[in-house]
Amino acid sequence: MPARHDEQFENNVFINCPFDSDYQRLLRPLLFIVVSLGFHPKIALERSDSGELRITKICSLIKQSRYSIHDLSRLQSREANELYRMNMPFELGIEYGCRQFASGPLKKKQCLILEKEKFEAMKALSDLSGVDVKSHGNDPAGLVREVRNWFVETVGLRRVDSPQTLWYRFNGFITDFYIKRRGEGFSEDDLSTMPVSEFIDFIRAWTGDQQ
Amino acid sequence: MMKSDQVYHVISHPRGWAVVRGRSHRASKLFEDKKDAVAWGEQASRDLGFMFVIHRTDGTVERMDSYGRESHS
Repeated sequence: MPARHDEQFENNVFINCPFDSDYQRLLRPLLFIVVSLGFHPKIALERSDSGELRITKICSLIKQSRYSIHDLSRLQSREANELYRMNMPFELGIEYGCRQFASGPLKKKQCLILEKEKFEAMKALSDLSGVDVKSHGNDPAGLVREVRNWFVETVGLRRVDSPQTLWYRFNGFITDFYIKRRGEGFSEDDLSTMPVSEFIDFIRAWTGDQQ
Repeated sequence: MMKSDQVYHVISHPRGWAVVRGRSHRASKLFEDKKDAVAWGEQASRDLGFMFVIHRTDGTVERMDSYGRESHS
């Protein structure tokens, strides 16, 4: 059914970010903003099929998504002898190549690139020279602001609540998430290790109840 | 569950910490220090019989108390 496929493509946002526990403080508000603005996050963690090659899954998610958000804030190694993390720039390269060389709807793809501090990503990836990269300062509220503003400037959304309002709403959502799930028997550890797909479902249910 | 407007949240803000009532778009009061925001919000919650939620900088719940009839801590 092409119409259904087009509709999904137009609303899908591929999320390219680290998956370690340190990044969860940024991932959760990122997922919340994408869902609450009416879009569908597509993320490698949304399903875990051991028989599926990771790179195959990544390419499939990129192809299914008109929009993408790439967070390059964790490129730098933090300790001596720790290797750089190459997955995020690699996946950004696939996204860029898809947009450059594909035809049809894939030509319309648009992306947001995030970094921690201004010009930091360009030092490691000088090919990004001249590309607009937004910095979130490793601050969840800063990330909410940059992602919200990108949806307005680039995606073309209008009448979107202010960054501050969205940040307050995220905190309200987390409170309800905490109360409801704790009431259902989830421990603190269960909440912090909850599968991304389950967390996204909870955001969808909550935002649906608010409308 | 307590009504959503009968809650005070302490939430990180670019200028420090905000005490926000329920789903309001505006802070009831802004503070430079978190401890001052917690003191003001806690007293206001006690006075009004509200729930009181202190958030971390990432939005997660640091502490939650209910000064109404129900307990959520």
